[in-house]
Amino acid sequence: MNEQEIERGLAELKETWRVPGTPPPLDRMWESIEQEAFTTPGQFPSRWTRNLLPLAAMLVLGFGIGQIAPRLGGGDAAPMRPTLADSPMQAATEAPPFVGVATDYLERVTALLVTLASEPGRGQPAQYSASQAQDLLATTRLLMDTPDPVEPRLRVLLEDLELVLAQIARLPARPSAPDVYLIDQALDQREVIPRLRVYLAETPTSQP
Amino acid sequence: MDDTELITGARAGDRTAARRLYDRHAPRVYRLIFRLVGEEELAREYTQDTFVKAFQRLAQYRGESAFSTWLHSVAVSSVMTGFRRLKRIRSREAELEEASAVADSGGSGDPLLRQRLETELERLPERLRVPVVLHDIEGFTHREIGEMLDIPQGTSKARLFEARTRLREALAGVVAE
Repeated sequence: MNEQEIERGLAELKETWRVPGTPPPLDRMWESIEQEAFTTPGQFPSRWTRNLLPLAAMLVLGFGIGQIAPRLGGGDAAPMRPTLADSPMQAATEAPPFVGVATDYLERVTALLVTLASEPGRGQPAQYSASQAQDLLATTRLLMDTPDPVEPRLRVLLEDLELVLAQIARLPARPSAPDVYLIDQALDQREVIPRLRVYLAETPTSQP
Repeated sequence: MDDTELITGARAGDRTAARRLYDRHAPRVYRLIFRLVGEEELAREYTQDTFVKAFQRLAQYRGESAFSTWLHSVAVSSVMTGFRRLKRIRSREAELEEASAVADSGGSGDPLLRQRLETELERLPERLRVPVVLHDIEGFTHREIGEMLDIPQGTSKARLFEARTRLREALAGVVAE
């Protein structure tokens, strides 16, 4: 196939390549556009702000408590981090607040993913918690963007969770089989659930 | 009412004018986005995103180009941002497609050239596929594509050339048969 044939072939694709099968629901789309584009910024916080502000506040509060609590409790002599000699319970109580927030978040993610993975009738219309995934996705990104250094293993886990949660958050109310299959694939190939369980089992704050 | 009058109205907060602009341009914007993303749900999402951004940034439109051109720039920008977000999500899927492409390359060949061309076009990386879609399928000029993708015109031409070369190479075996 030469240059001219390629050009001719591409021109022919105007009629056939990726032509929408059904017209878009313009009225329904307009409702969302109108709501988002014409809301006075000062009057109502944006969707982004509404979702992230409480999470950001929680993280900031957690970091603040983490900085102040050791000084109030035991002065300069109190260890900032658990040592190998500490008991599990002691380690749990003295773990940095970030670990606590991250652990709580990881437990919620695990619960969601396990529920999703055990959902009967894979590929059939089912009720998935897309909004829950959206919340968790926002938390994932906050944790990834935290200024504190994140343990490499947790960072990799967060990156994989971001991908999986983004897929779940995008699921329509009646997900198609390919949608669900892609999520299954991501979960299996990245071994997300086993890694989550191992991480939680090895993290001090997850111990009773 | 022409676009200019509707834009003036929309800038002043007239939602009816904004709605008329939307009604006038949304089908074309949706089709363009669908050509780029190939999924109805994503195309709807990016179309909404395009109009939200366009109405929020309407003050920045100075009338130097047609409103449709400016709107298409916003649309392509929304899609490219979305692509970057989705890239990692779909990386595994792409790897599988690539593996399948390698497996197919020594096959018996497909007599339906157009179908093969479509397949090869799908396999091009985004940075090459988007200029082909915008130029050869949608009919935009390199100047417009440059503005939409925020790249020099020369880069748009170079990418189109590279894309066509790759397509030609990929389809060379088909002709031989």
